[in-house]
Amino acid sequence: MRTYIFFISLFISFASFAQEEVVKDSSKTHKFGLRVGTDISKLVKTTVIKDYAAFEINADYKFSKKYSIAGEFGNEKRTIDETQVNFTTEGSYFKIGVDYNAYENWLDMENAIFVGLRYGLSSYKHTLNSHGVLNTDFYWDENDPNNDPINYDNSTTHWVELIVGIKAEIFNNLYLGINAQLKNYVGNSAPDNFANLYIPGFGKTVEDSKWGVGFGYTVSYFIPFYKK
Amino acid sequence: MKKIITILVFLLLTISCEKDDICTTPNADTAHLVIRFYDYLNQDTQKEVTNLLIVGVDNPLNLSYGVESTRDSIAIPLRILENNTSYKLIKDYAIDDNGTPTDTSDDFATGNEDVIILNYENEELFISKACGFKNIFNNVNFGFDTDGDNWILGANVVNTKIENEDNAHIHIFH
Repeated sequence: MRTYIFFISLFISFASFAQEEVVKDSSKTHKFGLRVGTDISKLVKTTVIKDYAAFEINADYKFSKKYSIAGEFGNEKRTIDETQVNFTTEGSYFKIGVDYNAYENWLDMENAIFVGLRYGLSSYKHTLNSHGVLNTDFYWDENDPNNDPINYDNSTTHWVELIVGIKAEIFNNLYLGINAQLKNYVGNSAPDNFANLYIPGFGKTVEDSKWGVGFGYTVSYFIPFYKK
Repeated sequence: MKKIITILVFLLLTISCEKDDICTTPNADTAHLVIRFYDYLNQDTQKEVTNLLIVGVDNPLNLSYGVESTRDSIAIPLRILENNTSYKLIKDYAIDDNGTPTDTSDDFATGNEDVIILNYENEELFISKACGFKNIFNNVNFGFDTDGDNWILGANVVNTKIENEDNAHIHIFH
């Protein structure tokens, strides 16, 4: 029922672009506390996709009516097979920042439509499992990929991230969420004679671009500390 | 605020489309060895080699590389899994039919065959995700066998590093 109300109110609020100012109910009580969860899409992909393993813990602490401190911590191992390179990237990351809840809750619900900013840091390493040496001349018959694995030194990337999403209460204090992340790296140390084609926590990188995108599907539990 | 969210979600959905993974980087391919032929007596003047046939020594496919043609420069591939490559350069290549034009079984090849050998160090250089790696040849050394009847009279290694085909790496004087 609460979810139902939440989605109805969501529709109403999106439909009413003209009336930006929502009447504030000053008598409404707010619950303050810690919400802890995990990214279920990573768990599902870990079981379904071969050569993929990832786990993420996310948390946000609501310290004012509108703002929360939020962060994610996780690790990821992923093998990517492209036509010319097959490599495995493995490492850990954390993100820390602030979420702003733009949603005016009805009653005493703690649903959220949020916009957040993060600082992210990832430390990881690549193993090149096989690679092609581009040689369009077939005269010497030396055109097979090189299958000698190459281990690269550790890489570090840090970035700023914009995150938007919703969190909806489906049961008492249990939340289901979806979010989208837009990232831009500010520091990226590439290993010698290779590139950071995949970065745990950041995602795939595109040549000549510092942008990355990501999506998350979270399930989290809210632990209320006090009401006001 | 809601407008901002709508715009951001739209932005995220558009940006998440991936670039095509096609190798378009120039010079991403392993370069051929480029040899230019010059006049031995007038070493600034290019001089064509008449009816040149190029055959790789110990070619695994047992193929000749080049057809007989008259040319002032050639581009030939070097082995990337070995640190040396040898070629037979046969000048004035021709088939002698032994006086029997209809019978090919007694035909034999004529021409002046010189064997060149190249020694080098291989290096794999990362280009990009789509292109992978290319091979670069470092510290290139050039030599030729003396057989008492050489048409190659001298050579000059102009570039000891082979990473593109923009300029000749070796000049051969004849």
